Amino acid sequence: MNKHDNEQIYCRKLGHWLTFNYCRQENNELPCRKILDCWFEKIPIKEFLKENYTEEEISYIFCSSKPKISSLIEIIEQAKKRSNKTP
Amino acid sequence: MQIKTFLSESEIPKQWYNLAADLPSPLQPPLGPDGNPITPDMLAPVFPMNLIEQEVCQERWVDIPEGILNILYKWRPTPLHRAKALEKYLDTPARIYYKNESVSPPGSHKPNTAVAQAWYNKEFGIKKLTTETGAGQWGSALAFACSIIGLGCKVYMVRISFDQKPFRKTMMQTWGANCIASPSDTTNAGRAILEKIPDTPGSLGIAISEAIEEAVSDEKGETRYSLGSVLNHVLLHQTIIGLEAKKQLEKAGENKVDTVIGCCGGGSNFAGLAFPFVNDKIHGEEIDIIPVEPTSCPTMTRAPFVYDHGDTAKMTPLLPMFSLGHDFIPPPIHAGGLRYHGMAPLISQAIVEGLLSPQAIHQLECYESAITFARTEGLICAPETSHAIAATIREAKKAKEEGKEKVIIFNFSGHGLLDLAGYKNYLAGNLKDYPLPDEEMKESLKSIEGLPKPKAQKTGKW
Repeated sequence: MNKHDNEQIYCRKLGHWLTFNYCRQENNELPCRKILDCWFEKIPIKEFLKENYTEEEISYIFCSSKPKISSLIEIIEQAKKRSNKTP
Repeated sequence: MQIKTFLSESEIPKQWYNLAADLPSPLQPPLGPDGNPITPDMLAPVFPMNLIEQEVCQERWVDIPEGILNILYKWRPTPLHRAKALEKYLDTPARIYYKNESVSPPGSHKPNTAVAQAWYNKEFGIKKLTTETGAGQWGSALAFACSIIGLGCKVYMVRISFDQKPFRKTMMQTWGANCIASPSDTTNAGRAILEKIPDTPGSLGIAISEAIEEAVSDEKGETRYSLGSVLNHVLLHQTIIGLEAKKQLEKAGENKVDTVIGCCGGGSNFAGLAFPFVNDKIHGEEIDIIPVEPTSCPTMTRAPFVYDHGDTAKMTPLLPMFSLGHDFIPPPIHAGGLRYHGMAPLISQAIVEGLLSPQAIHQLECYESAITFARTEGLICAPETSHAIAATIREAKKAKEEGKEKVIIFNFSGHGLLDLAGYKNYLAGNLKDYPLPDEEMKESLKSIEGLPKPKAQKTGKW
């Protein structure tokens, strides 16, 4: 699991350099959904995912993203529920 | 030889340009979780109504309020530089210009929208803005804007970035913002994550959840959330860059621009320079307009791993490109006609229409170009900006090969003085490129043969 942990990459989302160790845990301890896009040229990332994650986890990781504005609405609804109030 | 072209403050553009009014194929309305189009009231908990109106605005020109201009004058109009030393180094007949957005107080283009957003929130009666940030370029821009305008500012900075980028954090604090590591114990979202994973390095997703929760849970309704890219109103505010540039090019004696270049992540700095020129292209001008991204982790030049049925079928579930149980997860490959997840919708649609010609460039070429630029023009660029410089150098070399006196302009979107780790790695010889082998590309293309292809909505004019 941790054999590529010290490999470095520039993260387009965060805007600075970080290691593979972060990328494989970014999403609630599962890999970032961009992990294939970012790492496919550097390490055997498909094999890494097959070896270490179940099909259900893979499916969760790579579930389709939504347009930004739609995802914002979802986050607002979740935040309202957590706050138990509707402004 | 004139190197810099200035505009006086009285010559600053008084309106922003809205590409949505001119796009030949209209944007489809985004859908909410229930599958119905999003309405303004759904966004009202996090954005003031005056900005929501801009988000859905279809007017071509939007007046810039005097109050915003008065703040922008602190560094705008920004200079247009002629890259004479770079031209000489490249021995190119091209005339290369760059719009220097690094002269803003936080050192990038981002304050153009941070100031506007803070101003509109203040007008709406808001007292505090929240946001998320990674390395801190957006967080510092918003901290600056809130400081000048007199709003509170709370920035949730992803924990790993908070630890790795201490000087950005200090910039935000210097401008009076409350910058805290995310996840934090100040929100339910943050506490839930910390309980589950106490030593988590955080993520942008968690930081966004925290920033939005703080806005939504303010019982007085005096807190809102601010986003620095992707959304239509953000791109609108950035168009002052291109509008100034057009006036400056005219002043510099250029009647025709051949190539417009900008690096493209979420899209705001590219759109800022390019959209006014896209307008010209829509109305008949021949201009190459090039958004540039890294070969690694592309969004425009290679497909991501999933695509949907196309904009007309948003109601249907998104279709994963890989098939579980088979040879799942092909590497990213070129596949036109997709929507570009993570990219601003206006830019996505302009690509689909053929108005833009995206390029991807490997990191070594980008850093080599950044070093060349620093050693000729003197400026050390931000890592993202290096992509625009690399594409500019490519185009200037092409002009030499063709013997053409092309006019090229690119957006120098920010300096890299707080982002030197990449330069250090490059200079130490620690960076490598990893081109995707042709065989692997062919295999990948084979693996998606027969899968349904998305339909692109376009006029076919370009």
